[in-house]
Amino acid sequence: MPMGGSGNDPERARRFRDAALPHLDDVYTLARHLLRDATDAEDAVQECYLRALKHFDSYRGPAMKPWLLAILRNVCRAEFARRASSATAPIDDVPDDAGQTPLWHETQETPETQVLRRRDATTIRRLVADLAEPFRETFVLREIQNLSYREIADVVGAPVGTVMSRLARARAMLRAAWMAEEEQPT
Amino acid sequence: MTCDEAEILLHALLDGELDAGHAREVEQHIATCPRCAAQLRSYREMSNAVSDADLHYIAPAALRRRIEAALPQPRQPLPVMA
Repeated sequence: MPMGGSGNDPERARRFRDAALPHLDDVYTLARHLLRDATDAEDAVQECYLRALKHFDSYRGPAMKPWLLAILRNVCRAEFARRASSATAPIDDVPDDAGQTPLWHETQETPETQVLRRRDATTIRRLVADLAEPFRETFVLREIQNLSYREIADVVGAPVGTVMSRLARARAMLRAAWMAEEEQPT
Repeated sequence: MTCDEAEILLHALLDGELDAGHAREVEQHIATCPRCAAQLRSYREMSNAVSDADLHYIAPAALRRRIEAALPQPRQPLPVMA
């Protein structure tokens, strides 16, 4: 069934297609990192584009990519809620002050930069996936989507200061996990 | 600047999010603080490693087709009646 929106205007659909579809890989990338499941990610992206088309007439900016990512994020929040209510998968959304990891965790005798370079893509992907949700989200928006702090703040609906502290926490936790793997190889 | 203040700001420095004045302040602190300097190097290396790993995904072709198909299609020209 064609997406609805306000009418079946092909010209409007063409403008939407030209503006939104070039960002499909970025939207799908965020969905994969947030939901950690390929099928759920596909469903979320399709729902995102459906909602985006519906609201396209009211779109006045910011840039198209952050706008789409914000919609995708809302779709994913609904999915988190559904998972939580079905209790088949734990929700890992934790408050910012939970599980404090010292930012100045001094450890290794090994040259750290060598350790950091040694990680392969599969391991890095897993370590990022293991980050708790609000930190993973901010990390992915910054490190993979290359959004500015202002754009991230708009996408997640939080002040820039919160974005900065979440990003610092995300990197500190990722670094700690990275170094822990080195100390305790599996 | 204290290490506590630098704790957050060195990430903003790494991300190019600081204006010239604040960037200079953080850089001055890092120049005199081996611990914060090591932190910045460490996070920069990690950021480079994440970038090199390329954590992007490509949307499946079937998903792209589904979304394309769900958009209102351009009007087809009416068949010419003889």
